[in-house]
Amino acid sequence: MNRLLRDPAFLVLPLALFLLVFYLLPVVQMLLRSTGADWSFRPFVDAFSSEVTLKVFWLTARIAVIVTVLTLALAYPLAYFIATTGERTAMVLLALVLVPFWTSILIRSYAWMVLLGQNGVVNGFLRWTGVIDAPVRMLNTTFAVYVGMVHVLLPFMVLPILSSLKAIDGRLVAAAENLGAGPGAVFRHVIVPLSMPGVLAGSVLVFVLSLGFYITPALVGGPSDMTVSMLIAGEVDLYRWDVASAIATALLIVTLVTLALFGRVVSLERIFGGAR
Amino acid sequence: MNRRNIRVSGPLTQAVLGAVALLVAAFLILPVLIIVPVSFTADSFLSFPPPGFSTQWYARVFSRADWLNSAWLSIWIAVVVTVVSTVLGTLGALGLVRGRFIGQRLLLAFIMSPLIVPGVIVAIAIYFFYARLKFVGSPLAIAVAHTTLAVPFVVVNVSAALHGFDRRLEMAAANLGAGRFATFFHVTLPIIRPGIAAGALFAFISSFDELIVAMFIAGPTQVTLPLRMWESMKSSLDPSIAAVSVLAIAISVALFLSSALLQRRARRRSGAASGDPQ
Amino acid sequence: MGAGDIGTTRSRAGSPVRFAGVSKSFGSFVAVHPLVLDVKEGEFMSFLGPSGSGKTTTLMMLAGFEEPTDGRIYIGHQDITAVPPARRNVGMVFQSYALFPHMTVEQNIAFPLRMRGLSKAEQMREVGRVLEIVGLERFGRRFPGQLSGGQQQRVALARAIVFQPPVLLMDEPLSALDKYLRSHLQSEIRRIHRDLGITVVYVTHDQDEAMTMSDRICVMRDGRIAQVDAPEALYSRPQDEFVAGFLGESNMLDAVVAFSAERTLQLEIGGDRIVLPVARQPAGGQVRLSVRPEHVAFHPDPAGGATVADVTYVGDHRRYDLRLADGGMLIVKAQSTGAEPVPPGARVTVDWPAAQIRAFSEGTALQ
Ligand SMILES: Nc1ncnc2c1ncn2[C@@H]1O[C@H](COP(=O)(O)OP(=O)(O)OP(=O)(O)O)[C@@H](O)[C@H]1O
Ligand SMILES: [Mg+2]
Repeated sequence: MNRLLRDPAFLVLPLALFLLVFYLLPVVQMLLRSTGADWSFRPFVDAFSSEVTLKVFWLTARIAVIVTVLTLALAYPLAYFIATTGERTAMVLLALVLVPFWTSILIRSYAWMVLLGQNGVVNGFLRWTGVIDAPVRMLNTTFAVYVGMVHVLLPFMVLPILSSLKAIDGRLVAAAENLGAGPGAVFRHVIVPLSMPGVLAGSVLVFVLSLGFYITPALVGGPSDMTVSMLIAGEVDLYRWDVASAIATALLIVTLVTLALFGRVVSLERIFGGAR
Repeated sequence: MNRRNIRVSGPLTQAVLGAVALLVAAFLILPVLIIVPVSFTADSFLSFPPPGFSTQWYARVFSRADWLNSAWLSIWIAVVVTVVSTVLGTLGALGLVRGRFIGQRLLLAFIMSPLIVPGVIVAIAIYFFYARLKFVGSPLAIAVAHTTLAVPFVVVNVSAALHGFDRRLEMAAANLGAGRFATFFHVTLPIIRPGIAAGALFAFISSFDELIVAMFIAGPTQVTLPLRMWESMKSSLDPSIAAVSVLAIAISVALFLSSALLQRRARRRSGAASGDPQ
Repeated sequence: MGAGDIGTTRSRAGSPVRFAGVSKSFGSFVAVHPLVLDVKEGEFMSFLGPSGSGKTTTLMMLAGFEEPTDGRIYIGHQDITAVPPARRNVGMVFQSYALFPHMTVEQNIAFPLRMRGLSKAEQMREVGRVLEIVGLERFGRRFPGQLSGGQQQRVALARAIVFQPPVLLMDEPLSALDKYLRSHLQSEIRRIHRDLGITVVYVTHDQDEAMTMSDRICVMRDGRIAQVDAPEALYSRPQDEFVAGFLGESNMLDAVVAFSAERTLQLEIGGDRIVLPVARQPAGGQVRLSVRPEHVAFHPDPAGGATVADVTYVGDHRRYDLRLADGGMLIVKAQSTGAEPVPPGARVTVDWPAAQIRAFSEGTALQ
């Protein structure tokens, strides 16, 4: 007994029990619900015999891939600049990344409604400069979904890349230069490979989070921009709980498989672990 | 030290890179900032540029009982969530970092999973579960659900602090006559406190901003602030949402700044800790 | 520094320490083999040995941070093998000090007193007393992060002695400091030891440090005690080849037994013959000799069997590398005052100091 108490492992018990009851149990019940009353997997059949479900999965995957690529393209230069610029500039830029990170997704999505609406800021600006004379429809389009999601997810890409860039030993660059590598070669052969862990971590994270997106597409997307999460919520509203569970189970499996395949690289501590 | 810069580009490339970085940063921050002037519009609907400035929408928000009730409800829930998840999460992190047991990695992944699993899945699972228990609609139900989502933030921050903690300090305390509890309260706790505080801040924000779970399990009379915002956003572009958003952003930024300060303090503390005299 | 009265006001401040067959295994690896060692009260005992020889493990068992696999440990007459660290009442200075970063110097030093329930006033009095001993009276309100390495070291020392433990443990306490500070603190630790009369168990890598500070040195090797002795005895009468080679510089030479009788061993090295007063060995057999470079002399001799291969000037002495007739090398340290150096290439005859040569057979010294 004394031995047992000396090992601090038991301290995790209250948390484990709490999550067991209020998190794992509900999720398991939902998984069971999706199998149907008699393990017939009827809800799956119902859900996936509908063309809408398949199409929504396809759309969601496509959005996730495109958002991941766009986010990476924007995040890398920003992260690299933060890693290579002076301390003061770096701090300001990092704050500019973190403030949105701390602002709720809902508010940031709302901001894009304000920006992209018919009488919104962007239309107002374009009309004022004379580029257009009639307002362009931007809100409630797929374009708005991409813009909004990239905006929301960008910090999740910047932070891991930045942290892997910062971990690179500057002497390696010096060594490569000393061995005759030009700036391009150093970048290609030293910086890029060594920052790969961050790129991978950010990409997996952004991809997985995109798969489950709900708020942003629901607010700024058009009628055809439906994600799996929106579909699930819709089915719940229609009291088709079994079908909702089946779709949710499928989404969960996709998420977990992605993580199982690539998840090793994701260090949540690096992203959310403030006090290090 | 390896702090030599990893910059390889010449001044010109660096300038181009800086311009790109600035654009991306502007893309990140401007949409958040733009809400501020919008919230002060004198107009009765959203327009840009605002025809004039007034504080009418703030006055409106503060005079409306429904907004105020929602704000209080959200704050109340977030405080409960913060307290519970900070206690559970700190103990949990201690057990996970300090203990050795079978299935440790799996348990850690499980505890962290709410950060990754799509919100809707967690929300409907909890909704179905609570519906059976007739627990739906109570603020406590929301707080319990939010705790699940907030606890990983505490665990991750406290774990980080514990990983940076020099165990010899605890040995020193024991050697000097401190029992296990005295060691914890006089040495371990004060040193990891910034990590705990950072985790608590994250936990507060995550509950205060949480929408999806609340959407499913909040009752018609218990509308959290994000939920009320969400509902009015869907029906109109009423500038009072902008005013509420600005207030919420102000809270977030204040908390962000305190977390930055805490992190700096945590770093100083571990830097000043025993060891390498310069 | 006003600390002179401490030793007189406190009689019998130190306690003896006894390791009775104490061993420690990590899995199948034996870090410390059954160890039998008595440290006398008030003694300054150093553990000296190469890396991984089990010094820290032994100290940790004494402090209570490692549980012995077998054996008992006594402090005074009390068996403390099962006593938790917090109640052992041994002071300890950690290698990297382990000062609490969130407490001031005063709070750090008061910590053990606080844990023992002393009143605030008593705490402050005792803190003041030890701050004076370590010469840090003006630094009480600083945080450890605001002190230099040497000052942090003194705080750690003050904290370890403030509760007047009968035994003080130190694990390489000076290894992080520069050479000057190290020798300064060495003499300070010695003074405190003398003044307090406390038993000190001191771990070090540094043989000079062990030699200058200790009453006795315990040389360890691969988890075993190689020899325990006073510094001089250890230096002049090493029990085995390892100790002879480990402590100070030593010439290790192979010699052939030419003739042997009761307490007479005639040996042949490099064409010379020497006689040692040690036990009989089979004639024609091999023994190994160790001789300190400063104990050997030589004189120029055109008919000598050895040649000077190299001369190095090292300030107070010259260091000669001699090549013996059989090709073996011998290092000799000779006073550099007055005498002209013997040039390389010169023929010389070695004057073997029979009294200072140790002979070993299969690693252990011949008596
Ligand atoms: N917790 C442990 N688990 C396994 N082996 C250990 C452990 N602690 C020490 N050892 C092993 O025990 C042996 C003795 O270690 P110890 O730290 O006592 O050596 P040391 O004499 O203090 O060396 P150094 O001079 O390098 O500090 C080493 O081989 C070490 O690897
Ligand atoms: Mg050691």
